[in-house]
Amino acid sequence: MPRLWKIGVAVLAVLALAAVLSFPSLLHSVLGLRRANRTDEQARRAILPPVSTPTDTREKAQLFWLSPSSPDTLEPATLELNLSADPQERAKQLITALIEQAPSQVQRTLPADAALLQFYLLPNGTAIADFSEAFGTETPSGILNEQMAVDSIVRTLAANLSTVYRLKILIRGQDADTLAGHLDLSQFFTIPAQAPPQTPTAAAPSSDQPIAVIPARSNLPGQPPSASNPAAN
Amino acid sequence: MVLAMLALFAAGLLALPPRSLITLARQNTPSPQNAEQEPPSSAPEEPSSRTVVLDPAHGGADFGARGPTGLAESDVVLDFARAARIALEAQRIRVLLTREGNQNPSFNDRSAMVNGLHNALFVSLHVSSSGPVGTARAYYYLFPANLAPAATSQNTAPVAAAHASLVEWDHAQQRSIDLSRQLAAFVQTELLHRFKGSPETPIAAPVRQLRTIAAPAIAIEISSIDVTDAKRLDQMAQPLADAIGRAVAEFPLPAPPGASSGGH
Repeated sequence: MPRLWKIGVAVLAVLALAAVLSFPSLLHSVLGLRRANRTDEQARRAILPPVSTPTDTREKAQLFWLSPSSPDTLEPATLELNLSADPQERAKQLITALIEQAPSQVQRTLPADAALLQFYLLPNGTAIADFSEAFGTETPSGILNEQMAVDSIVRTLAANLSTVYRLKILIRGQDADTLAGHLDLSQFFTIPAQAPPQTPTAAAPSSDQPIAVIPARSNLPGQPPSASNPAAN
Repeated sequence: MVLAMLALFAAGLLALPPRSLITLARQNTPSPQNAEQEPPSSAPEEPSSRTVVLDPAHGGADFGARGPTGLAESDVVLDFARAARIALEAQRIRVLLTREGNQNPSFNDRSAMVNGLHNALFVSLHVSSSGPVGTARAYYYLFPANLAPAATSQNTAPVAAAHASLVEWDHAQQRSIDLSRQLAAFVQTELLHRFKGSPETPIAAPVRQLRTIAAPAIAIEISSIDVTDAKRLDQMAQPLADAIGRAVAEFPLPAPPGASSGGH
C-alpha cells in the first residue's frame, strides 16, 4: 500500500475515533436543547407566582368542562379550591384550575400547556385575561372547539364571581383576531349575570345546548355593568 | 410621464386604509378574480338574481383542523363547496367561491367578494376538530345587544344622511343580522333532516369571518375531521350540498335596494 494511502487511512481512523468519542456529548446537547424547547410553556408557568392570597379559604366552586358523553356541551363540576376573597385573585385561581384540573383529556376545554399570564379586573367589572401563546396555537381549530373553550371560561367566571361583567381575551399581551382561526377575539365577551351559588352543588346551569358566547362592545370604557348583560339567545 | 401617473394612481390605491367603508366596495364592479370564478353555466337562460358566495375556509398554509390520518379541513371544505355549487347552479343560482384552489384569502378579502355584490348570501364552510361525528351546525354572528348603530348621528342633516348610508366595515354584519339568523334557521332545519343528532336551532357565535360581511351570512360546521376513514366525510358532501341548495332556494331575500338594511 502506498504511503499516501496509509496516511489517509490513519487520518480517517483518527477522525472516526474522535466522532465516536464526541457523539455522546453531542447527543446530550441536542437532547438538552429539545427539552428546553418543549418545556418553554411550563418554564413560563413556573416563574409565575402561585395564585394564593392571605384571604384564601377552602371553598366549593363550579367549573365547566366538556361533558364526557356529549362533546358539544359543557357540564358543571364541583371542586374544592383555595379561593381568594379578592375577585381578581379568585378569577386567576379559577382559570388556573380550569387549565390544570381538567377531569380527563376528553373533557379538557383549554390546552394543558396554556397558561394564564395575567388577569386584570377593572372597577367597572371589565376583566382582561392574558393567556400564553399556547392558548391560541394548541386549542383545537374549529368553531365548536373554540366556542367551548371561551364558554368554559365565561361560565366558570359567571358561576363563581358576581363582579365580572365582561371579559377581554389577550394572547401574550396582544389583541388577537381569532382564538384558533374562527372565534372572534376582537370584542369583549359578556359574563351572564348569575348569583354565586349559595350551595355550590345546587342550581347547576342547563347544559343541553352550547350557550352563546356573547361578545360585548369593546369600546365602551364607562359602560355601566347593568347594560352589559344582554340575554342570551 | 404616463407611467409616473399610473404609479402615483397605484400608490394612491395602496394607501387606502385596509378597513374602509363598504360603500367603496359597492362602487366597484366585481373584481376580475370574481369574474374569472363566475361559472360559465350561470350566464345563459336568465339565472336567478341572487348570488351565493360559498367560502371554503382556510387554504394555503392554513390547513385548519387536521384529522388523525392527515386529512386537512381546507381540502374537505373545498370539496363541500364544489358539491354545493353544483346543487345551487342546478337551481340557476349564481355561485362564487372565495377560493377555487389552495389559496388562502384573508378574512377581509373574502368579505370584499360579497360586499361588492347586491342580493347576495354568504355561506362559510368548516369542519370541526372534534364533536359528534355526522352532525352539522349552522352559525350566525352574535353582536352584543348594546352595540350602537355603526353610523352615529351628526349635527348637519346632509352629513347624517351620508353617514346613515355608510356601513362600518368592522361591524358590517350588524345590518344583516336578522336575515342571517333567518337564513341559519332555514339551513339548520335542512341539516337536521339529513344529519341526525344535529341541533334543532342555529347557534349564535362570534365567528370572525361573518363579522365583516354586509349581507346575510352564516357558517356551517360539520363534525368532525377526527375520522380514520375519509369516506365518512365524503358521504356528507352531497346531503350538505342538498341542504344548502334547498335552504337557499327557499330563503326569501328582500328586494335588492333594501336587502342590506333589513336588520335595522
